[in-house]
Amino acid sequence: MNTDSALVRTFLRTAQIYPEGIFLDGEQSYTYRSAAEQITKLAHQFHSAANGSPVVIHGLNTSTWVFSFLAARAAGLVVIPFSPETTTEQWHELGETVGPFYVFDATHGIGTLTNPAGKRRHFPERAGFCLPTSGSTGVPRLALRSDESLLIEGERYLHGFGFAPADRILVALPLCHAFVLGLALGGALVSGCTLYLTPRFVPRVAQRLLREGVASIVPLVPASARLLCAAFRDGGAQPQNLQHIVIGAGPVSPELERHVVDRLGRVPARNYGSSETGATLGTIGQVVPDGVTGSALPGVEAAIMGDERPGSLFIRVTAPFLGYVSPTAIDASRVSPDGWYSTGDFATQDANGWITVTGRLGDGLRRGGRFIQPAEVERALKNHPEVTDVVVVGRRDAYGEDIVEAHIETATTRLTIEHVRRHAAQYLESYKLPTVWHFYEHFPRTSGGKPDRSRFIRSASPTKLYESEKSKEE
Amino acid sequence: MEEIKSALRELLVDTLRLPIAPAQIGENDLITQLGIDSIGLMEIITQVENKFHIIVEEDDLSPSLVNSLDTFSAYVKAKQRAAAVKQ
Repeated sequence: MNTDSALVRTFLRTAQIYPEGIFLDGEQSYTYRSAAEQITKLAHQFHSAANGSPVVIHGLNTSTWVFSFLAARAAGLVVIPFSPETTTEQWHELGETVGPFYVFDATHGIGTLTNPAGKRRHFPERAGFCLPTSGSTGVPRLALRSDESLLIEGERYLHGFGFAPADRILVALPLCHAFVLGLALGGALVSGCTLYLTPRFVPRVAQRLLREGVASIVPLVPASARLLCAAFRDGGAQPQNLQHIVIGAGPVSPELERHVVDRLGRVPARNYGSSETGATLGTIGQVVPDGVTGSALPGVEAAIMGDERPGSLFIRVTAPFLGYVSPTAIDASRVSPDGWYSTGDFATQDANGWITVTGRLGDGLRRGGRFIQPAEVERALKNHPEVTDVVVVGRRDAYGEDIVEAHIETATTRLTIEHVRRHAAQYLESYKLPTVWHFYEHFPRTSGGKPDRSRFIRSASPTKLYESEKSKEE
Repeated sequence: MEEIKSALRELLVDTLRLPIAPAQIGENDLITQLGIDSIGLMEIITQVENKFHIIVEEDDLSPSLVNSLDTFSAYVKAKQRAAAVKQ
């Protein structure tokens, strides 16, 4: 096996120390030793079939998925995990961005070289894998990271939570998800623990497995945590052997935390991060004030910049992401020369050091895992003949998800929510439509004449024509 | 079948917290139209199981199940019939 990859070297080192330790469990079980054999076989396949192109892995959580990730690295190829929901448009964009790529369907073990005549993209030497992200702008991009960044992320969990070889992580959420990849694969590689894989997250299956005590650690996102809590409402036994419930990719509301404590028996750890940086802030399952996001995980520096509060949250990590991949360049401009990455979020910090992320700095809203570009919503609303200007922002709802909030400038009081909503529905998918509407005769504006967006984001109250109806969540 | 479809539309709006009336949900291409991802799919399936008192088998769990209202409602109806026969 090619050991230029730090991920592969770390895996082999762990396999040397714990050859009979269980690396993967679930439908099939593999020791570190037997996993190494599988990875070697696949690496040969990728080496000859992928022809130097990056390897896109898609499919359900299977041992083949994990093997193919490490095999691609062992073959010296950049890995791009794609979700099962990847759209045709995203496949097409990928081809334009990276040229030829080898698609490996990890569910069925089938590989195809795609776009072989395309112009080959050259990646920097340290390139390990790319994760699709919308960043803070909502525009889909590929964030390029090194092998070291995944291992260092794993070490945050190793040192923060004490991951050990005896630990077993229930991996029911997709491994292509940045949060799960970092916690599960990164954590396993540096600690020697076991990954218990299920193809997908099914609440009653996860409930049964947790009651059987198969896992000491379970990563969840807020929606899956709610579903799991609902499954445990049957009054049966709580999970056995469970040490850590880690909820990432979304805030933990006080109500959700209460449900998790009541039904699953533990205070959940909170987790914040990005495809670009991996997990950076969080807690380890202690009780913290409502709304708090966490503190910097081991090895992470966090800073809140700017004079106003909330300010702009910056993160510095060892092995920062290498940049966004475009057809002609790797754009690393989001990371400053001294390594600070702008998260695109507003945040505050209290006297005890707890950081609270309060909202998005710029564009890019996130609701239930779906990304919404405010600019797209603004364009759709702005072409209504009675609308003179539009600002769309996000605001957190009771579940901690972004609500799409539209601020409409109009000279007429005849314009109703129904008018603009029906108009926007001609151009936007349903989930992008604003839930909250405000109408104004005159927007607050900067000296340059542009709408003063900070007034809308920071909840100031400029002169309004009338308040709108609000969503039922508020 | 129309009754099941209507109930499914309401369920989709409630579960996904969509800012539209149930009647505005189309017949097809729901995955894209409503932005349903893997977790959204499980939220929907869980609510469907509770509402219609059926069990969706793991082998049937797939985005294609919910992508078309015809397919989805036919599945629910078949499951209800099977449950009734068992009783």
